Parts: sequence; structure tokens; C-alpha cells
Amino acid sequence: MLHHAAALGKHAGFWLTIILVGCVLEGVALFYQYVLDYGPCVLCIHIRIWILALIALAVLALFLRRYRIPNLLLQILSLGAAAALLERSWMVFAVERNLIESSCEMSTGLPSWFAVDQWFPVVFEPWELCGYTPTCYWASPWPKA
Amino acid sequence: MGTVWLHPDLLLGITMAEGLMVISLAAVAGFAAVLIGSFKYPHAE
Repeated sequence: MLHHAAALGKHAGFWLTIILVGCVLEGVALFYQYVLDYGPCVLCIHIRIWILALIALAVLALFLRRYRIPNLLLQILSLGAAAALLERSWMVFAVERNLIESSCEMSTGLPSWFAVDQWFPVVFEPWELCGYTPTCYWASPWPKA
Repeated sequence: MGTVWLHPDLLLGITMAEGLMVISLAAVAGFAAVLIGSFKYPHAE
């Protein structure tokens, strides 16, 4: 099992899948924002940033996957980014279920050297406070009566 | 409260937060398995 997992880390298809899934997730987020008019909260913006980080790491790993040390380093960084994504996802989930007291703000809290919300507001600007997230539909974004 | 419902045409809906939890858990488990495997079997192809 772990032998197969180890082989995956050197396989272009694995990293291409990460890139593809990441792009689909970002696309779905933008579709919900601009087509279905569900504005993102600050946690959603953080999630978009971590998914973009995973895409960037996967692009690097795609080219460096044959080199042992860079490949291991990129796998460690990808695990870290995935853990951060899990933590942000848990916060969104916990806020939605009222499991924690929400102290969500409109500010992204990003440092000035990484102010992506100001550089790319179309993608990274929060529109709303945290709370309810929309239902996603696998076959269609609109529920049928 | 999240919504999980089955439509007669098998349309399954969950909230974004629930979907993200599933995806991120799978990502952590997947990357952890690949990383542990890479350390244990450095010459796996």
C-alpha cells in the first residue's frame, strides 16, 4: 500500500490530478460567487489561498518529481498546505454548525507583502461575514422541485 | 445544520463546508501516505 503511495509521488499523473482538482475547486468557488451570487467570507478566501498554494506546489513537483530531495520537500510542504486547508475547512464547518463562537471579520489579516486581496480583489476579496455556506449539487447547482 | 438529501433522481447535496471537510481530510490522508511511503520506499517506481 505505502509502496504504491510512494510511487504516486513520482508520477506525473498524481501531481496533474492535484492541479486539475485545485483548478476545479477554484472554478466552482468563482462560479458560486459570480454566477450564483454567493459572496465569499474571509475563511473562504483563506481556503482559496491554500488551494492555490497546493496548485503551485503541484506545478513545481510536476517538474521536480524525479529529484529525491526537492520531491520530498514539496511533499512535506503539500502536506502542510493540506493541513492548513483542513484547519480552515474545520473553522468554516464549525461556524456553520455553531460548534464554536464565530469571531470572523471582513479583513483577511494578510501581511502587506502578501496582500493578494488588494492585488487580485476579483478572486481574493471577502464579500460577507462567515456563517452559512451554500449547498453544492453534484449534478446541478440548482435544486429541482 | 447541513443539508444532506436524496432527490428522486439521486441528486445529492451537501453544504460547501461539509464538502471542503471531506476534500481536505482526503488531501491530508493522501499526502501523508505519499510522504510516509516516500521515506519508507525511496526507490519505489
